[in-house]
Amino acid sequence: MAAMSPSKRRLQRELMSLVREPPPGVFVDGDEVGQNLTQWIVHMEGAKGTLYEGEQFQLQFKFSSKYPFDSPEVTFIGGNIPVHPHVYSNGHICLSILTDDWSPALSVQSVCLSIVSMLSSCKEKKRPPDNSFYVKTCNKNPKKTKWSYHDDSV
Amino acid sequence: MDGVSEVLRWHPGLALVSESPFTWDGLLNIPWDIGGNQCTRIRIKFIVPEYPYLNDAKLYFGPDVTLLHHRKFDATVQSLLRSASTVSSFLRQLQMHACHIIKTKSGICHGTTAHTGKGMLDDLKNALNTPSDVQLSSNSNLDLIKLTLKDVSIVIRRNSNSINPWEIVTSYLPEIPGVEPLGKNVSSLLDIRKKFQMHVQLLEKTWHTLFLIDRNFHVIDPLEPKHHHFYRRIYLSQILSVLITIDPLHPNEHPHIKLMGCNTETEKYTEIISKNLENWDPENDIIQNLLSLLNLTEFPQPPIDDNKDKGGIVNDDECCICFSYELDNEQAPEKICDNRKCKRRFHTLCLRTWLQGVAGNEIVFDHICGKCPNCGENISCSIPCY
Repeated sequence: MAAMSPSKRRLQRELMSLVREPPPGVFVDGDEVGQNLTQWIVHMEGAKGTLYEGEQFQLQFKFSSKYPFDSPEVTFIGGNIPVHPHVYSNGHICLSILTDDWSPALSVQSVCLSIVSMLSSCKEKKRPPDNSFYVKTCNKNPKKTKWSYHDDSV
Repeated sequence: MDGVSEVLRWHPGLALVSESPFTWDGLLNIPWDIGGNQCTRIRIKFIVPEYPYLNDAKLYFGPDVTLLHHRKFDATVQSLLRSASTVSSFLRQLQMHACHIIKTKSGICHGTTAHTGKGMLDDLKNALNTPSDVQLSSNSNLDLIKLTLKDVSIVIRRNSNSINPWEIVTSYLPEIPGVEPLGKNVSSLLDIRKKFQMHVQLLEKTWHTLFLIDRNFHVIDPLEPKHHHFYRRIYLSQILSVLITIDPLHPNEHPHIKLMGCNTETEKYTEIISKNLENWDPENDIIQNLLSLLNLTEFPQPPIDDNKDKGGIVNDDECCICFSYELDNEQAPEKICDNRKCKRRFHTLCLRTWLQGVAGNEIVFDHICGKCPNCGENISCSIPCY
């Protein structure tokens, strides 16, 4: 096998681990992702006992060649975007570890866990207050948005 | 009467300093009581490129605009500018709006009129003009002031009390037994800032001592130590821990000690400690003293959770960044985080690449300093000399 870049090697490693031992409520189709390591679809399920119980979501991860020094671009895609104060209706997520607080010690798995916990701690299903304005004006890439993280409680 | 002479008549303090573009510069009177005896003046510069029309007109304020500081002030001025038809009608409406704000503000100050506001500004000016290591910041309404020194901060507010005009709203600074509290006997912002600085300096050694403990021992409580926590509960074994409380004014003296755990162990350790206590030497650092006090040769660590190890993507001996053991030209990850609770490993190359990409990381000689990607503690990494 040709030598893989450290970035691809790490993604391969993460994929194997995520397929073999996925965290609760998270599912990755290894064959689907194996085709193109730089773009993953992660299936996620609303946790029992939370406002999202029974709902299915799809998360898209895009990795640049600088991953893990560069954070992945993570958005919700598909027909069901969770209604949550930190999730815009175009799928963009306002979560500090995806931009300012990213660290190369984080992984797809830890990002998934953070998103599951963000959803689980939600007390009221609603869109962010500036949703319609943001969706109309934002860049396609959520990493281009200058987020201000105003609320850590949800 | 044309617009220019009308402005001159009603606003004698404003001079037309240029006609291309039309520019007025000077002082705008703001009479804020009925008789017009109480009057404030603010410096403005008003540029009207398409005079007599107000399109693209720009208004600039002098520093005394802080008197008018209000959340919606800028927005209101913009909307007045859009709706006004002549320069003179705009200035009149601006006058009225400014007057309204000053009246409302003095109303907030418990009827002491603008003396509080003025006193506050003088006080603030004095403090700003005197250099200090303490950082001073304020909210947009200028009614709360935040003092910060070495990541310790307090928020204070001006009240109408003339003897103690500053009250503390929030403080992350603990009260020090035997030292006068911060809010007592301070007549100005300068005073309270000096006192705040003194308190922080007084506690610096204590915080350093506690930091050493956090860095070396496994602390069970507090989980996230804050500046006001003078105690640490240290893990000794699965059945024993010791709670030590430091005297903030004498951090090197032996702390108050309480053993917690099962009886046989606490009895055993009580004996050990009472025997060793006389060897406590304030000249030594706290870690050395604690180790000899507790008859320890190393820092007790809780057993690593086996599940955690198996479930993790990256093994303990692998690099935390590239998730592998071997990197192209390097072998094992040789760099280990100094934080005993973290102890994660990195390839020098991986860590360097990360630290060099983070804005604001400092280079000291041949090392780059930054935060550990795993635990967030300080970490440094060698960089090749070019």
